[in-house]
Amino acid sequence: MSPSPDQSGQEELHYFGKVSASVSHELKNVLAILNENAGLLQDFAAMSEQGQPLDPERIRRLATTMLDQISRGDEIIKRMNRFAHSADDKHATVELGELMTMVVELFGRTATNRGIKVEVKAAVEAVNIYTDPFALETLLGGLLYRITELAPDANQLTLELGSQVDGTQLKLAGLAEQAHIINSILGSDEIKALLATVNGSAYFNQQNGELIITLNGAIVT
Amino acid sequence: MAEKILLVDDETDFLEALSERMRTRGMEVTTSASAQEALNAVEEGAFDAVVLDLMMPGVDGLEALRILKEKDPKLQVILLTGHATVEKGVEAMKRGALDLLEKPADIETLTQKIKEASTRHMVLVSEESEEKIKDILSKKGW
Repeated sequence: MSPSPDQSGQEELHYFGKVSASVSHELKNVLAILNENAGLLQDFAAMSEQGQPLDPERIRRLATTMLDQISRGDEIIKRMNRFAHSADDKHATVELGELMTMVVELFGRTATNRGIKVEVKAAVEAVNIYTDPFALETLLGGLLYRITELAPDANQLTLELGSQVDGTQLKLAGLAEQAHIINSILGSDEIKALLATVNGSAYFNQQNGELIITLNGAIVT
Repeated sequence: MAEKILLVDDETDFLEALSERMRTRGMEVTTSASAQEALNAVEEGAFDAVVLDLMMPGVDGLEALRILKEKDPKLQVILLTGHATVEKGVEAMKRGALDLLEKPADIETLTQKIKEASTRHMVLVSEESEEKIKDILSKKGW
């Protein structure tokens, strides 16, 4: 039985939920740091009222930490906002390098928790493609979640653009030891449904451990 | 007597600020930036309570809780989390956590929980000592 479009939609919703949960957790950490640093300022003020001198350098360091966390929080929210808006249009022109970077950044906290480093290799030239952006993000993100969950010993993965001759290729490398897992993931109905939605196909090269996704959408110049 | 606390979180800015606030409140605080570091710290020193982040790289909080309680069942563990789902909360309690607080936590609430943990630890240690003494007395027949 071929996968239904509903499966693709369900998978997209599931991925959106995972990313939202991860982002909210990261924001909670930012808030917790701001909370403790603001609390420290209150403690210093109380101590100063009791005659203990304030150390301006310590106050400056606290302010720096708080500003760093505000900037961290701002980055997290901007990324989430970009991700949320990528579901606005069913089809749109996307720059693949930017899309891959966003997916990997959104996966960052989970990657760290699972002890895995995922790197995006920048392409020499920008490649724009007309596709379903949200389904493509879900496909790449879903693969990262599944692979790193089932193959925890894959400790370094690289996502990059491959050949652009027969369709547009995306490569996920660093999976040499994971053949059985990758083939089972590619055989799942959810991944098949997402591949169908983005008019793509996937192939695992066991020799070099590269997972190749080919997108047949039109390249936009 | 100052409560001896081990504070565990992978966010070092959080560790630094909260440990300073806890010290200001009279506690003796050791910090660890990972579960592994925390397990080593527990091997080396005695603590009244451990304040442990639930989500950390490598060994996560729930697994660390399991190992800590296995090493020392008397050890009191308070979990801190950015997202307290009911399932995680129930699981934490099943594994012997004293409580689970959501981040950002109120320092007065946390201090109160630490005091409760410290008291409970003291009672358990004293009960254990009493048992040991009784055991020695019964074996020696004094």
